[in-house]
Amino acid sequence: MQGLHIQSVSKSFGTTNVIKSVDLEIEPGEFVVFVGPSGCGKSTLLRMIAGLETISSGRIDLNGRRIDLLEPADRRVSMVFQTYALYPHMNVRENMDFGLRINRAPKEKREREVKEAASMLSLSELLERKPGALSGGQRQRVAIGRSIVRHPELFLFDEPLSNLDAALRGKMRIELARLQRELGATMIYVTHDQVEAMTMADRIVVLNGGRVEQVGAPLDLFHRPANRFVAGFLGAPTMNFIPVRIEDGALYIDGHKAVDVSAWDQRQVGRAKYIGVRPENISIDYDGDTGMRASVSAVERLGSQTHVHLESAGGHSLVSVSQGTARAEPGDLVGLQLDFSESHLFDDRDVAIPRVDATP
Amino acid sequence: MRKKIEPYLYVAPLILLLLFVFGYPVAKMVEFSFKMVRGIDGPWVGWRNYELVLGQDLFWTSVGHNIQLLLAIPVLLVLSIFAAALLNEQPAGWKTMRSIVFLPYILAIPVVAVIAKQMLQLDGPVNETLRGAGLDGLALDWLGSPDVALFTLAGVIIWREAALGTILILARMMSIDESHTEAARLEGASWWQRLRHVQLPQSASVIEFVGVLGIITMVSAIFAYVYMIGGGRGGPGTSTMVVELYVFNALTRMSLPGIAATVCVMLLGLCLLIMVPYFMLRQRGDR
Amino acid sequence: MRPSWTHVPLSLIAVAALAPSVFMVVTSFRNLEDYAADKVAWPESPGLSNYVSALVEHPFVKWGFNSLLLTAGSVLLSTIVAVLAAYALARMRFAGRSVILGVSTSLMVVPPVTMIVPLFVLYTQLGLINTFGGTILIYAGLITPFGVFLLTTFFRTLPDELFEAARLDGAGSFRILTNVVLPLSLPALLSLIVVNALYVWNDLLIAIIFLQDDSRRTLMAGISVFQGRYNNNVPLTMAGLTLASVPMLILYVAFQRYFIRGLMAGAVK
Repeated sequence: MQGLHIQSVSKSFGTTNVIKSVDLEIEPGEFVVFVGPSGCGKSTLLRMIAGLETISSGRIDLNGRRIDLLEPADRRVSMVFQTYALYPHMNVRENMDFGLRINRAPKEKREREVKEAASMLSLSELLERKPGALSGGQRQRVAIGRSIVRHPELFLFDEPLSNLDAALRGKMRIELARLQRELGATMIYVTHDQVEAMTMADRIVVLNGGRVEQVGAPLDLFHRPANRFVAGFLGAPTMNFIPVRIEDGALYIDGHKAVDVSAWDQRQVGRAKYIGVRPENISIDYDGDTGMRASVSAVERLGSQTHVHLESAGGHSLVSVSQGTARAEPGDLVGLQLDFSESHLFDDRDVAIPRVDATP
Repeated sequence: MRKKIEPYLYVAPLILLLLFVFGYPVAKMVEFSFKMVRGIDGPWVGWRNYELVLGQDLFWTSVGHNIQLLLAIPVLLVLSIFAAALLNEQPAGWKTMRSIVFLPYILAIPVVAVIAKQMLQLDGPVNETLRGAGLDGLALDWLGSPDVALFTLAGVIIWREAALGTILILARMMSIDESHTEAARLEGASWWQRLRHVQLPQSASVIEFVGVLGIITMVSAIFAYVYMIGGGRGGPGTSTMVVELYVFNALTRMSLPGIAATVCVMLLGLCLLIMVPYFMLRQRGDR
Repeated sequence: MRPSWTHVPLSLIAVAALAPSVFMVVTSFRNLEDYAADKVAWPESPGLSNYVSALVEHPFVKWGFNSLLLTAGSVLLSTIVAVLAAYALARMRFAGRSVILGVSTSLMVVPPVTMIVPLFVLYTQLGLINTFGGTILIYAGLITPFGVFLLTTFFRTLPDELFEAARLDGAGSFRILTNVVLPLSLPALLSLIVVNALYVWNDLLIAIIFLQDDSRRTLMAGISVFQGRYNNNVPLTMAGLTLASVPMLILYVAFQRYFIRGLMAGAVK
């Protein structure tokens, strides 16, 4: 049984359940990202794997060993913290080999491990510096180096890039992905940033309210969200949700027939309550009076894109994204074209209704 | 299992030490206060010790002096606030000034007391200076006159304890957000107005603390001053006799631990009476 | 620079704060005849004879050594006890934690004089009067509640992640204390040590009750005897007082920052 197996793991503080029976399998060498809004339990779940939080029920196995009852140090996992958690009074070298020193590793082994990790992370010149004399990105790399020298079976990352500025974050994303490939390591990475999740993950685990909402490859989740939460969480600006009515094999928005529903599972489509359309799948017809009628309420020009905020005739707030600089002005009355081939239907319990046609 | 007892291993030395230095004495002291102790133990006498102590003029004289010394606390507070507020303006050389102002607190009480005693002799430097300045009327018999000695004692205590008060209040004032003071400055507030409306309200909790510290000091921590200035006897006469010295005399000079313990029980009770409401109010204020 | 009118009242305050120390030091360099003739004057022929006399003819060296021993012993013992307890109180969860911390903290305001009667009787019984060990135990007990309070407050401010990282590195609780917590707590420890040293060094009450033997006297107890005996030799007395004050003055000059921080820690509770 290689890899990490999480079975029916729960955690409660008193009567509050923060993790509700999570099951998860992670393959060796996989880069898995836990993502979700703050308070969804993603960090708690990570800390339970590390052993920094106890679990209330269930079990966790790593490469065939049950680890949930072990001390954190005995689990063969390492963790990189959001605040880096470097020991301020030790220099980079001492920070990196502290764990090895505690375990009485021989001096040659310690020097070799530190040297290797330092060259992998371009830290060789900084080994004698104290953390206080390092930049944020360098500290981050030391924290990663401290993980590497321990040769853990599983790397854990708790929002490791959120204290860095945007430019550095982009750089570190690529560097981390490269490192993971080089080490062939199994990694779990917690973030609230969907860009990190989409770009780095082999698989994404979307958590909400202590529950796993969906697990899958980034583009799978993007194109085939299992429910309204996942659909709304991934993608920026967020997906538009519009109430619909299904009648005689057709879909009605605000009483107007919009499209026929042959693309969806016929046995379930009757339950559809909402349609989800991404902002980039709503195009604006400035002169025509085709499709839905709407008025422009606000325009945000970002240079390469324009976000147009709209108020439909039916009273729904929508956002449309178009490339380049759109000519919309607040108050304009426009027509909207929805691309239904990229749209999603959800029932009254927010569960997605499967499409039967092939979407990319 | 090891995890469960681990914290207790860390706190065990503390608990043992506190039980020995505080727990045992408190229990034993209450017991002693109901016994006529000669040497190390003695027969139960019920409330006899309390009747003896409360019926003795010297005890009430001592209590009276402690109470009179409490009246010096407002002076101590005003001096500390004033000095702290001046230093808080940070004029040139204020750091040196701060070091000098805190100096009295670094000197030991016995040292302070002996210096004061020599300076305040009838023909000592203070009186010689006063006479030299033509202020013969102010050249009092600071230590020898029973009418003046308690005031002299209060003055010496204030001189040293105000140093601590000043430093504590100053530290608080300096931690007040600069923007408050700057805003007041921009509105054209004078030094006095800024002190009154910005610095004082924001330092209230520390000033309160210095006041409570002063009360505890005056009630129960002036032994060294009194012992040195009053010649070990609370003199002249009984004019500087205080409760602590009364306990000391009962214990060491008269070998009456029962009587000493009785006064200690009452003194500890009084301190709790002052402190418990203070801490409860503070806790409530924090919430 | 800020308005300088404050210099006027500040100078007055500084003179008042400084005058006794100046008097002490200046007089210590004068001789008895000069002092008898004029109480306030600079030394005409400054000499160290008073210091020589204090150090050679009188037991100031012995007293100083006793004070040093007592101060070092009680501060060391108290610091060890307080560090261990504060570590558990600040960083571990266990039944009775808040009670222990609450009781310990409230003992900070108990007047020392109220604790001495039973201890004096007990020590007489056990033959511990005039022993350094017994006295050190009392001093350590009296100053430890402040240490526990100050260090618990400080240890709580250390980030949780450091402790978690150390646990993942395989460090046990005692190693985390010695390798992570203590190196990061040096400023707090220094504050605690200087404030407690000041208390023990300067104390008179415990010293004269529990160390009555001539050979066991501390500097402060020594001064109380000395000034009675040499009441008339003011310059000699002042030399003795100066000697007794020098160690704490050095400590103050070297660690002023930590004194203020340590005292402030007591005030913000």
